[in-house]
Amino acid sequence: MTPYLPFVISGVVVGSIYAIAALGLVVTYRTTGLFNFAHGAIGMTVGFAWYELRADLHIPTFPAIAIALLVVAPLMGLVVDRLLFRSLSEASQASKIVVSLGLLTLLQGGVAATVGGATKNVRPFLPQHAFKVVGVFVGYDQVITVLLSAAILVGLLAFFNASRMGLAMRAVVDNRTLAESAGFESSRITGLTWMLGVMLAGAAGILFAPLLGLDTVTLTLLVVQAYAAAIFGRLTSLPRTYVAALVLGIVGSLLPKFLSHSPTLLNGLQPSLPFIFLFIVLVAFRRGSLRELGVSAPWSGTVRTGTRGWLVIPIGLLFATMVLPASRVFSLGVAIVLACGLLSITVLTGSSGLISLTQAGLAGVGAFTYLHLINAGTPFLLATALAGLAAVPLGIAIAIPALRLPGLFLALATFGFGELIDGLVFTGWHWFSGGGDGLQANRPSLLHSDRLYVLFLVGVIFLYLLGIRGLRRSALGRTLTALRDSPSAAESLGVNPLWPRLAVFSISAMMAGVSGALYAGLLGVASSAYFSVFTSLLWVTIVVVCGVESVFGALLGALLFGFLPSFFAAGTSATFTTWLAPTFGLAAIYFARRNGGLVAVLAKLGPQRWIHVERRAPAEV
Amino acid sequence: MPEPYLCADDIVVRFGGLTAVDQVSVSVDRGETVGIIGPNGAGKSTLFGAILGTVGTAAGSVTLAGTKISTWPAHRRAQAGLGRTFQKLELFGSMTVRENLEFGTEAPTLGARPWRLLSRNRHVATDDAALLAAELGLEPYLDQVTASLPIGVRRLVEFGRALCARPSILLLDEPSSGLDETETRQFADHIAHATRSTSIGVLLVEHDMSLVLSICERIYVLDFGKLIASGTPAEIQRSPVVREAYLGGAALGATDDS
Repeated sequence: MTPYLPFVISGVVVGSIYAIAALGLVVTYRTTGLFNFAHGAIGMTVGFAWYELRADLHIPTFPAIAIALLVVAPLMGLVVDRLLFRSLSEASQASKIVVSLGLLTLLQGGVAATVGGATKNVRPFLPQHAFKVVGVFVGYDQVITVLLSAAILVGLLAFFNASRMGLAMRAVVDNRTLAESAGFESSRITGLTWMLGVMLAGAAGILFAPLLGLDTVTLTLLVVQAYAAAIFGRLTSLPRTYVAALVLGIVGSLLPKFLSHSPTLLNGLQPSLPFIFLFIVLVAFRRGSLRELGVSAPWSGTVRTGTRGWLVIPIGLLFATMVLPASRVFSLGVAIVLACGLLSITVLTGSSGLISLTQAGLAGVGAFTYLHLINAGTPFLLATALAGLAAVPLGIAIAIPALRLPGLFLALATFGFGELIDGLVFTGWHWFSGGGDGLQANRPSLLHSDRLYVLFLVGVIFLYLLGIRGLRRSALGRTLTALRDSPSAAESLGVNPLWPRLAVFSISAMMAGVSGALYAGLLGVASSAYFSVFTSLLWVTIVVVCGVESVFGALLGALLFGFLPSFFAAGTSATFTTWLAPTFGLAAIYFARRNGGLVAVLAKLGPQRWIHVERRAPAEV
Repeated sequence: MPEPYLCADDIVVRFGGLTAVDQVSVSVDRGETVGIIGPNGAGKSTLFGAILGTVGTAAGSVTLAGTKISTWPAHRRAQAGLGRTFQKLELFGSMTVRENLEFGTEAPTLGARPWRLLSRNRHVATDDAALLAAELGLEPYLDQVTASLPIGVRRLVEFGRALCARPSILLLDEPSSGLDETETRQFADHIAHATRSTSIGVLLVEHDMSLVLSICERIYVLDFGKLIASGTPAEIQRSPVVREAYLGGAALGATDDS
């Protein structure tokens, strides 16, 4: 037993911190019905606030913690409640997901742009000396962390079960009006909940800082561990969530001990642990036992944005490819490739209201498959097509367990899956992804010049647009609209929701895979950094802001992110892109509840003949 | 005597410790209109869900045309001929009335043969939908998006969409809620017409007593999850048990005069 004990102990410590984060997530979800993907990003922001207070303002450690957790965190909680989520209580689940993704992108991008991407080392602030129990050294800091986490669990349980306010919090999500008629002011309650949630996220962030160092990515992704634990508690049970978090910590810490002979497997398995956890839960739970809380309206039941005039896109791009100077053509190619990736989201989310957070990961799988095939001598077009197909079984494997469940769970599963691809496939399998340097391959000799290759890209995007048009006119398109507007009515007419959703998800996965191959073909090289889970999040954000219903939205987003930066000098261009992401995060929060996005705004200003937006009166309830 | 077309036998539904439906049996035959009444929380909607497959049952069986369908998911029961409407309207809000009706016609085929999803939308359904729209008086609204229509029209669209799927038994969940008296009477006429012309069976849950008494041939009364009475409208109106449970003693049918 003794050789394992130190690992178990450090696992319990890490698990306790996961638990603090996960409890915060459950508290906000079960009171507001809103699953906060930005929970980790919020913890990261509070962590950095504390770091800056200590490092720049020279406030001693513990007063700085007090300010961060008791002043900064509650203020953030209030802002989050008042400005972002208050108006969302009866919005669609997709809108809610997009708002929290927008917040994530805003915070992660904003903090990274302000403090830089490097990891800050944080010196420990809890007592470091240790004592010996049954032959193992245990640190006081470890004891304090574990006790703190257990105390938080007990405190929350007591609060929810015994206090009047706790009871009110539980009542509000069930029925806001009823709770209000019973004398509970729901706005005060959700405000308090968000304060509490942000404080817990912040506490987890600060406790993790000495262990992992502070950087914007690691802590932002802490949300994956937290929701893997929370989903085990069906997103509602505090004790089950707590236990699951501890188990997650212990297993994660024991893995190196068991897998010390196989570092490759270890490197891959460790970061994907939360996803495996999540996947088991999704497969194991009976249909119906995982439900969304709160009211969920359909994604956009009242607006239809036509895409009349879509031919303008390929014709315009063709023209641009011919006339642009050689130096610009390459950037145009980057934009077209990005547009193909974004269109894979337009197809999925625009038609079905489902949100996938692993599109860039699927594109990465496509890119590396393509490079391997090319280097093995496969003809260029065949390699591109096969790269697209390679992404499909992967997409299906992840989608099937989640598609039985409400839309939130597809977002959760794909987010976890995106991290799994990051950790296991891109970082772990060097033979596949080429490690940090990536893989290289030459362009086919026929399309050797940029201009010729970009002409090929214009041809591909033409096929994409043709395919999307066909989908919208097919029975599948209509069935997806029906499922989006009212899943229960579609089922009551005999539609099995699984098949149409699986079909559109596969199409979307293939489009993402091909876009990855195109990227690799254009650059002649691909490395995993481009296909991280954050890229997926950014893509969803871009599409929502620019307009998810219309193919013009994806194109506009691609031009903004892929083409526009090439007009600035190198330094300015970097700054522009760095700030563009958080700006889009902010914009996503605004556009999540408004249909049409930027494209609809632009269409109203001008070319209504081309971009046809039908706006329809909202439904009365 | 042959078994009725739809039989729900000894249905039990539990939510945690609460027994919402306790050993209730109901049946509907084709061409018949049957009502379920009972006070709020009597378990009417839960029983509906158990028959339709949206609520899990702890015991009991559902039989449609002699086939046991209790273990089937909701969409498969729909394909087998169970149609429904919703108490809280569930229309495809971004579609026009025509598209809603047409989807009702297409959906059972698409559900049973998923590969047809990839075919082009051929609008084979148009004739059926147009005919039904004419019968229900929906023609002026055909090309309007349903989300913007008044509730009375939307109720009819939902009813028409369910009929388009050609069910053998149609379950109506509070069809008159949100309708005024005239609209309710018209709706009753449409239900009666549908059962006569297409010989479908109708099972409806309803609060509006005048509607139930006027169109139902048989009525079941639920209270606290138990079946407390069943019979013809006249028998139900006379039953002292029903008066006690449902109206606290007042005579049934008196509510619509007040």
